[in-house]
Amino acid sequence: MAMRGLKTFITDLRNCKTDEEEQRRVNKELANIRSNFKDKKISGYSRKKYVSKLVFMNLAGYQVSFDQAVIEALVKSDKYSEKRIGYLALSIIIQENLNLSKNLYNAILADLTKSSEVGSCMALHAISLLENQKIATMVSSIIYDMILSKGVQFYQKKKASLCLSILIRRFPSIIKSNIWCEELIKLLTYPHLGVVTSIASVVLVLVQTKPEWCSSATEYSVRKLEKINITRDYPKDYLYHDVPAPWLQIKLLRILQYLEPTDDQKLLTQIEAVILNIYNNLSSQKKNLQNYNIVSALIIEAVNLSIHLGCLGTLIDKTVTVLNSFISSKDVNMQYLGLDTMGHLAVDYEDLKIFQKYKSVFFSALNYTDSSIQNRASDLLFTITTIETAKETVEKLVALLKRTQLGQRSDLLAKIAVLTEKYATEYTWYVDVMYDLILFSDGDIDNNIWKRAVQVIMANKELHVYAVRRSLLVIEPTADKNALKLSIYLIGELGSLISAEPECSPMIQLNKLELSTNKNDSEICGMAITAISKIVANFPEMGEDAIKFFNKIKKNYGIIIQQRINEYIAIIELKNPTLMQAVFSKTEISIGSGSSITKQLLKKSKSMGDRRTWVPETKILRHESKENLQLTSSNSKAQLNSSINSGMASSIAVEILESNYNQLLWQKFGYLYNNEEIKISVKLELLPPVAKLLFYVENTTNKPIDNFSINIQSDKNSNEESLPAEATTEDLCVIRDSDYDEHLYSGLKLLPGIKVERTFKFTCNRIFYNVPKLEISYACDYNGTLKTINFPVPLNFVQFIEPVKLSSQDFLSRWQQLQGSLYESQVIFVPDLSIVEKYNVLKLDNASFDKGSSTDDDELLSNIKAAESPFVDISDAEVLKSTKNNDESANIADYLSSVKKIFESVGLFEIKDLDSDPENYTGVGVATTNTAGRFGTLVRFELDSAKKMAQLTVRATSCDISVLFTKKFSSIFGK
Amino acid sequence: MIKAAMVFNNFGKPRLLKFFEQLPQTEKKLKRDSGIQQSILRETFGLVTRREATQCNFLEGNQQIKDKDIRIIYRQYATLYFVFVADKSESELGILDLIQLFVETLNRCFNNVCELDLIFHYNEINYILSEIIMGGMVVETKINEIILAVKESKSRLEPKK
Repeated sequence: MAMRGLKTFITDLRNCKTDEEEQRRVNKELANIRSNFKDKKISGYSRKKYVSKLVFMNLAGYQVSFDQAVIEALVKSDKYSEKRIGYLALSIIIQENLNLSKNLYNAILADLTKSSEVGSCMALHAISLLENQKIATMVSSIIYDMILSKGVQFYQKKKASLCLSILIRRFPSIIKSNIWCEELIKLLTYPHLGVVTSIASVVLVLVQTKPEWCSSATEYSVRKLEKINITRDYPKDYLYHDVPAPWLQIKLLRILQYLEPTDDQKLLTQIEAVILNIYNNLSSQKKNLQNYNIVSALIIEAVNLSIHLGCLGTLIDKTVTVLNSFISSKDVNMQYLGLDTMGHLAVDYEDLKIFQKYKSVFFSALNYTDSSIQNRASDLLFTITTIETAKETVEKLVALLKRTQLGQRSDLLAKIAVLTEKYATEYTWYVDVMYDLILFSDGDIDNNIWKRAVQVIMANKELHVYAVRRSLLVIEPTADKNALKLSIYLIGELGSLISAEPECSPMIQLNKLELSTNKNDSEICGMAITAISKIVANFPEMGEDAIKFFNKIKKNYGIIIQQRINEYIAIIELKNPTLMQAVFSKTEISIGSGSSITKQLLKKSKSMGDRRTWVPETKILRHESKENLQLTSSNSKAQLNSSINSGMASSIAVEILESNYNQLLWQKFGYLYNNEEIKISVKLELLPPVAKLLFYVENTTNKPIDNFSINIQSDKNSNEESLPAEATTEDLCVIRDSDYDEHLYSGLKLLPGIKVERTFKFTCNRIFYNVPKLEISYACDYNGTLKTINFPVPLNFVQFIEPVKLSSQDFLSRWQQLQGSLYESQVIFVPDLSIVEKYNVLKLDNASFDKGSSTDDDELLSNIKAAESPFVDISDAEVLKSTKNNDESANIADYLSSVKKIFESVGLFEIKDLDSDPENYTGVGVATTNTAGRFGTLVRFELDSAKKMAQLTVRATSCDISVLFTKKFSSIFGK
Repeated sequence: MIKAAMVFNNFGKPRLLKFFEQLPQTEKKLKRDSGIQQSILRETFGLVTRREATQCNFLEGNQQIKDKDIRIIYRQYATLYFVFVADKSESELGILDLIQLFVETLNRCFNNVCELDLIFHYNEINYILSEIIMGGMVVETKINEIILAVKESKSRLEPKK
């Protein structure tokens, strides 16, 4: 490098003793360069020299801007040294994402096509950095021709291939056709191995973007691998530390991982032989570090490939042995890669037993001081955790968490939280671990975690008492912020449960909440004052103390909190217990369809660059069952249930279905369907016009069920995706909002005894008769065929009716307004007294109608019902027979109360003072739709027990509703 | 693909900074700060120098590089750190050997390369790297071929001289 000026400049900078001195020297130089660039007749040499200085300043971290005209002149120069520095400066401009001038673009394009080989290679370098779709599309066919043309040198061919592979990666649309792909793939047989390596890069991108056009790549890759590995046919100068063309081999092994495993038996055998050959290199002596590294790199890739192929036959044992030798090796790099690849195997391989043997090795890897290794080990452990090992794993991960630096814990925290929730078998364990996490993490925790803990605790009744007790112990002014928030929330919601216990009186709770505001944090204060008000709602005698406290702290906070405090004081001072209860009633929290913690993990694993062949968290996400706490008692009940039901033939199931559907009109939770393999229950959450159906599917066999999918098929055109715009034209449509993640609904694996919850939301646009179908499919255990079950979703328009309070006078005047066939429908029928026992509404505890009761309780209840009902029915029937003649009037009374109960549960408000006849019922409700508005629905039911006749009259603002309602209920109540 | 190649000394002074993707634009506030490049360098320097010699050569994550799913693969030679940043499609050990290959090539070009060579021939280093990696993909892995390409390119462009 013959530029003296540059050398002097660099030496000068190195001699500067302070940053200021250096800055002065740089400024001086910049001024010098500016004045020289103004000279139009500047020589090529000076241009080169000054731009070189600018490039150096940029590297040293100084902010410089290049004059694009100067760069252009250099790029266009015939002198190699000038052109080179021009392109170097150009790469900096591109890298910094500045706009290039049109002339510069033209200069690059001119070099690509018209210039010498070296010039076009420089242009290729520059193009590979440009993220400009127009340019990419324009040059892609030129580059493609360059690769295929016979007259082009290896040197240029290599660069053209790489450039194309990068352009395809950025803009997949430049792939023209399958012939285009095939021509490139064929070049894998090119005689020059250097060129083949670059071609392999192109093919690697092609198989990721257009696998359907690249099926021939399998054969070409396998043949090449075989040539190198088995027949040892390769040019000797491509040996790298005794390994032939390792980078090419790695690429070929990768290509095969992106393609569907072939079913060509001959090819498979060849692949297996190649993999085994690569494995065998491990045992050979360690020659030097380079050789050892590259041999191991190949082995890791071979392992990844054999995992992709499903670990054929004998390969699995070998694979595990090889990986284990890596993990227990002395070389830290090998340990890291061993753990990483073992993690890959664990995601794909079903039988987790093979990993348990090495568990202690994995645990000890957590104790390394190297965070890279800790991360791999915790990913691996996260994947292989089973219900048996969960406790131990969580314990070790928590221990690791305590050693992890602040700021790097969030990932680990999320993993522990997910595992604890998924495998909680004892309620104390879940609560203890969550508190440990939150208390310990000292603010360095995602908000999602304590919020999720609130959701889980609130949704599981058996956790309530334990959790609130724990909260009361934790809540100290010195505690961590998040721990305070969790505790304050739980005391507010659940404090009343333990108020009778020693040291837990409402007064003590109130004091502790008061102390928690000492932190002067307005968010905590906001939560605390709400919690205090909730206590007052349950224990009005605390009102005075609360107001005193509110007044005391009011001044310390901003206007929003002050406002809220004033409102609370005003409500408490009204001394109206009903109002207090209504305002501060227990918040209903549904467990939600996707926990944000798992979403966070999912988000992390979405990558933008090369598609990964595997992602560590996928296994648990696939399996993620939102039914969180599998209490052993409900498991045994479920088994009992399935053993009874397994006797039923599938034809009977349809009949059962009918009455199940009817029951779901008024029950918010119920059992829907079961067969030999699965059991489905459903929970309905209504917020008209939106209805949420939560399906709980349980695998009742003792083996995992594969390929399980659950989906809603729209009734009309089941094949088409219903777009939101079209969907609104349907009467009842499925909503797929941002929460909807396709992967969570198909290709799942159901583990035995584990319940999976999947939620679907619907909007009712107007009155509907047809409902979409729920389609469930899964692979049958015995022959692997796909079994599909279809049934309509248990939704009916009457469910969208909600009670509305109306006085008897108002009712009467509406009733009169809605006279005539435009509004009214009337049916007379013979009452079917058997509904009393059939639907059993009177025998059930009121709790089952309570919308707020937890799913576990409902579940238990419906299990008990299902398990016992045959016996109940028989005994009831006997009782009935013997007493039939004696006590018919009692039956009529039961019938009438059943009818009333059902109407009430469906969503009607009973108008009690309207009719003196006790055999009559009057009720009113309003149906809410999304687009058609709301419909008042007035119902009158009259029973004539003497004549054994009943009459149901409905007047609604739309006659369709009246007809639907009378039809449905006369068929349920009548014979 | 390889996202970036960096060489810096144990004080964090850069000797080579090459990015194979356009970097997000950032506000340039300080005079002595060419934006995101230097800031990625600083973060990487911090991550790498914290590690001990007994720890493995792989690191996960640099917050500022667009793609989150990346590994930092590094090797230390005397006072210099050679750092390549790559996504999951590259073999970690393959990259580690590529660094070795890069260093061996430099050694052949400069006869026992030292930091001073890298400083005064910073543009030469860039050209050598461009014969090994292009746009984030490996061009060539055979040392002789690389050196030949570096030496020959001049005569190819200016054959008369």
